[in-house]
This record gives sequence, structure tokens and C-alpha cells, in this order.
Amino acid sequence: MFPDLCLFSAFSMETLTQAFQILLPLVYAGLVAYFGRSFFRSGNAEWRLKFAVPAAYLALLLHGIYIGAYTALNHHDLVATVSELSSLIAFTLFAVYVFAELRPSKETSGTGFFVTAVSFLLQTISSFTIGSVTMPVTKAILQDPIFNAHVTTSVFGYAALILAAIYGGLYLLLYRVIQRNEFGAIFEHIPSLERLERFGLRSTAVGFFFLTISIVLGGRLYHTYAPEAGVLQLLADPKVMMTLLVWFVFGVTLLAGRVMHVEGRRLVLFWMSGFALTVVSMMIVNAIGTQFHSFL
Amino acid sequence: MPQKFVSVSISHRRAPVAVRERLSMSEAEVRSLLEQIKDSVVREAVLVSTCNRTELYALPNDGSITGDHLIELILTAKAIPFDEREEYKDYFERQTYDAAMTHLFSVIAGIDSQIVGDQQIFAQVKDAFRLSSESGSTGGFLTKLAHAAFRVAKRVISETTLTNGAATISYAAVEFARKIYDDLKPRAILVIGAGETGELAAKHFIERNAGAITIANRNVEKAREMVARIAPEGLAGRFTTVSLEELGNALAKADIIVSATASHDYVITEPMMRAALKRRASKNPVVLIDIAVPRDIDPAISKLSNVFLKDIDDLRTIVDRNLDRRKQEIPKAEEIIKQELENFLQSLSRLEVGPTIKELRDRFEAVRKEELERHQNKLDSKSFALMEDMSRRMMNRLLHSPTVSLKEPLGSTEEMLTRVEIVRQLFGLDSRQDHEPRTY
Repeated sequence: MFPDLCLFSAFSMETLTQAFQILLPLVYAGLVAYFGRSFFRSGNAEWRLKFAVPAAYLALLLHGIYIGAYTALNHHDLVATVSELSSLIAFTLFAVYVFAELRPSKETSGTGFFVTAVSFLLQTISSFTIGSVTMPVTKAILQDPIFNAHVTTSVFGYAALILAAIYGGLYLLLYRVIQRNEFGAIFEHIPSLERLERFGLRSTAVGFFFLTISIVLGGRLYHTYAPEAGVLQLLADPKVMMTLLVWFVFGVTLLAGRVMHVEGRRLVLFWMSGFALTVVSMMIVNAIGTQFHSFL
Repeated sequence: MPQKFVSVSISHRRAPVAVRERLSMSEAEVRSLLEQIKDSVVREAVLVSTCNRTELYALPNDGSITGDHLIELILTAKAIPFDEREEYKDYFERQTYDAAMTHLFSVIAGIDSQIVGDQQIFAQVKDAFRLSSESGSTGGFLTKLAHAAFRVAKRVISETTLTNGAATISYAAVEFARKIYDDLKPRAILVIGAGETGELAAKHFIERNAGAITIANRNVEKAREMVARIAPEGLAGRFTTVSLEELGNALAKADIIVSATASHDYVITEPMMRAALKRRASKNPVVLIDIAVPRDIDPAISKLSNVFLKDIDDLRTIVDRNLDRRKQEIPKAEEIIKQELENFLQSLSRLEVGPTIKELRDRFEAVRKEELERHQNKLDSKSFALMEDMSRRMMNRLLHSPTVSLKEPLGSTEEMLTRVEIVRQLFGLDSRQDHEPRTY
């Protein structure tokens, strides 16, 4: 009756997600090449502008479709395994970059290359491992929208943290290049120190906002799913400790930057050491356990 | 005809500055010369005059007007004595037709500039065409040529990096400061020295939308004069002038400091800067740029925390790198010029062919009718009709071959235009043009 529709239904959701798992690394690889070309080769800014924003939106749209299809297929968001989280972080990182820098500043500075490179790496890891990694236990909590919101906001928070770290890294790189009089591609294409600091602080603010929401939602989930556990047990949980630590680092960075007016390299070094601390804690936490939280 | 197009040019490539200065023309002089030569010597003309070049591009009234005639007109306009003229003539370059067009395109693209990729020349050539138009010296040909030239300049800017990056020390100083501070508007800028270099740096800061600028100079009156020269209308309030005795206070307030004095000693010593940093309310980094030789700023300052100090050698590294890269872009710009020249000549030839065929047919038709009218009374109506028909057929058959030959895109654009020119000369079609310039 409707051959196209029949064909579409034959093209199952599973096939669609599998196709996207191949397509998305290619899309991000294309973006890395595109932003890399802008970064390493002196070219026309207008040409870069012309395609950067539409290309970024297209990538976000495709990744969004993938997340939607995957969620529909598995009945939960991409929050249950490291592979799923990698894909979600790749998406959120790029989304935060697009909406924090690319769209408002209307230019594709060197940052785009570094951000897309990280997104590409994360999505590639996800695509390669997602098929082989299975959820150990399917819990009812995975179906809870508050839980999904809790994890998604955390991921947004961590993505913003990664982005702030990229800005911080670029800041320190440019600082070093200027001090050493190495006026090459990095000097030419990386945005000014002032702008990197501003974008870094903005990302920190975004991360702080999402993590605050995530912590509040986490508190709510804690009351629902582990009412018998005490506050000490909650605070002793490695993931809670780590999240609170990251939230604290974000908060102090914002306080230092916005209220105490600490500026420049000192502020960047502070948030970069916070980031390093977070990475180390994350590695320790992941080594300790694979469960969501010890009390669940 | 476009083949008669000629250009004469004196520029930094061949002439020393003393010669260029003497031949440089003010706007009034350009207008006067264009009005003087219009109709009497040239059908259309444009004159570009900057500190580095004086060039006249013209479509002469007839083939006997050469580049040497135009050079003579320029020398006369500038009242160069007769005994010096031969020497001046040697400095001129003379080009015709497509070479002259290529030269104009190269000039406007910035590849013929003293500093390769100079963007000012685009505006200067645009101004020259505006002046020519206002003086009534541009017709269809030069208008079309101007559009092609502007297209070349725009393509070179957008498709190459020929114009990218700072190419002078003073501009590199400003660009370096912008690598630290993106937005110069909220920044306090201190320029030490009211000489030529300091003035250039201050001008570049203004172009980059700088906010408050303080000019420090040993002679404050000279600093005030500089402000009067460079301050944009209504924005003089943004400028402050101080003497070098008040430098300590100015240093404590400044985010960006550019020093360009002729002093033989350090104008900013390490203890001075250390004291200024202590008094500084802002925690922003301080950018110090020393573009003086000998240096004005004690290099020991670079060891202080929260300070970026660069001297003229550091900036020269940036400039040299940019100039090298600009030079590497020249082949791309030349390719654009080649493409646009070909497009321009093709459009010219297309525009030449149509009117020429029409004129040719009109000329034949006029002769045919004239001859028929002469014999009309000697023939009866039947014979006249037969003659009429026969002469029309004969005319069409005779015109078929030249018409096809003109329309066929055989050979280069130049060959096409040459064919058109030969047909026009053979059949005496040029007489109309002297009175009625063809519009493109």
C-alpha cells in the first residue's frame, strides 16, 4: 500500500542506531578536518564562517537523532555505561562549544579544532565499544525521568568542565608561545588571552549551573531510592564526593573570577589544577567501582 | 576601441621618492588635468595619484595618441622644466591594452605595492575612479573596467591571505596588544613619544576602536599637537597628554604601553615599572611594546610577573613572517587577475561583435537603398521589385561570411577583437565612434 513506509519500517531502529554509530565518528572526523584546515592554513575568515555554523548544527542534529533513536530503542538515555556516556559527553561538549562560542562570537577560532578533536575521540570510543558493553543490571531507576535528567545535567556539567579545560589549555599554550616569541600558527589562530579567559569563565558558569541542578536532582533521587541510607553514607560515596569536589572547584573559580576579580594566568592555573584534580579523582572513582552509587 | 587603451605609470618600482613627490597630484590637480584632456586627447581617462605612484589610464581619441603624449601632459601639468623632462620620462612605464589592464588589476590587488598586500590602494583607486566619474572622464569602457578591477580586489581579499597580518612595526605592535586584549575599548593605552612612529601606533589604536589614550612626551605641547592631528572628530576627550615627569602615574594606570621616543636612555626602568605595578589597581596583565631604537624599556622588566614585554626585533619577526606569507600568495592573486582579465576581455568582445554586425548591415543597407533609389525612375515597378529582391539577396549572401566569422568564438579574445577592428576599418565603421561613444 505504502511501499516507502514499509521500507522504512523494515529499516529498524536498531539498524538506524548502528548506522549512526558508524556515521557519527565520520561526521566528527569531517569537522576536525574542517576546523583543522581553518586552524593550520591561513584562509578567508568569511569562507570559514559561511560553513562552520551550518556544519556544526548539522552535526548536532545528527547526533541528536542518534540519541533519540538510541533512547527509544533501549528505553533509557545514554547514561548507563561508559560507552554511552562517552557519546553523550561528545555531544554535550560540542553543543556547549557551539552555543557558548561559535554561535555568539560568529567566528571559528582555533578552539573549534580542539573541541571537535575531543568529541571525535569520545564518539569513536563510544561507537567501537558500545556494542560489546552491556549494562550489568537493568534497574528501574534507569526508567526514571529524574534519574535521566540527573545524569544528563551531570554530563553537561562535565562537558562544560572539559571545555573550560580546553580554553585553559589554549590560554597557557598561547601564553607560552608569546613569552617565547614563537609567532607561528598558534599565535595567529588562537583567540586572544582575554577571550580565552572569558570563554573559560563562561563555560565554568555553565558547568556550575548544570552541576548544581544535577546535585539537587541527585538529592531527590537519594530520598526516593535509598531513604534508609544516612547522610554520611551519601557523602562517602566516591561519585558524590567527586561531583561535590568538581562543583566546589567550579564555584571557587567563579568566585575568584567574578567576585574577587582574580584574572589572567593565575585564574587559569587555578581552574586547570581543579580540572587535573577532577581527572585524577575520576580515574580513582572508576577504579573503585562501576556502579552508579554505592548506596543504590 | 579597447585596443587603444594605454597606461603610463611612475611608481616606487622605478622612481626615487624625490621624483614621485614632484609628480604626486592633489585632488584639484587631478580634476584639472582630466578636464583638460577629456575630448581633446582622450575619450576616457582615470588618474591614480598616491605617495607611491602617479598613473594615468586612458582610452585615447585615436591611435596616434601614445603613452609618451600622456607622459608629456602629466609633466606639463606638474610644471616640470623642459630640460628635466627626458630624465623623468625614463622613470615611466608605458603599457597598452591587456598589459595596461593587468597593471591596473595588479595595482588594485596590492601586489604592485611597496608593502605587498597594502589595502589602502584599493580605496585610493576607488577614489580615483570616483574623481574621474565626477569630472565626466569615465564612459562605458572605464566604468566596466573599474567594476572588473574592484572585483579583482575583492576576490584577492576574500580568496587569498595577501592582505592578512600586520606588515608594519607600528601595526604589528597594535596587533600584538590585541593578542592579549581582544577589546581595546575598555583598556587604558599609553603611547610614549609624539614622533612619527608613536603617532602611527596611536592611529592604529584608534582604528582598532581604542578607548582612552594617553600621550606622554618630554615636550607636552608636541603631544597636544599630535592629539589635535589624530583625534577623530568629537573624540578628543578620549585623549590625555602628560609630560615624562608624570610618567610614573601614567604607567600605574595603563594596560598597554607603547614606547617610541628618541631617548638614548631607558625611559621606563625596572624600578619604575615595579613601583607602577604595585600601585596598579587592576590585576590585568600589562603589555609593554618597545618600538624605539635604542630601546626605551629596560629588558629586565620582562622578568616581572604579569607583564608582557616585546621590543622591535620581536615585532619584526611577526612582520617578516607576514610579509613572507603575503609574497607566497602572489601567484594566487595573479591567477585571479588572469581570470578576471579574460572575463573582462570576453565580455568586451561580446559587446563589440553585436553592434559591429548591426553597423555593417546598416551600412550595406544604406548603400543598397541609395543605389535602388538612383535607379527607381528608370525601372518599371516589376523590374524594380526584381532589383530590390536581387540586391537584398546579394547583400545577405555577401554579409553572411563576415557575420559568421565575427560571431564565431575562434582564437583568443584579443584575436576576436582584432577581427572586429579589421572589419570596422575595412568598411569604414569607425567614423560613428568619434561622435557617439559606444556604451557597454
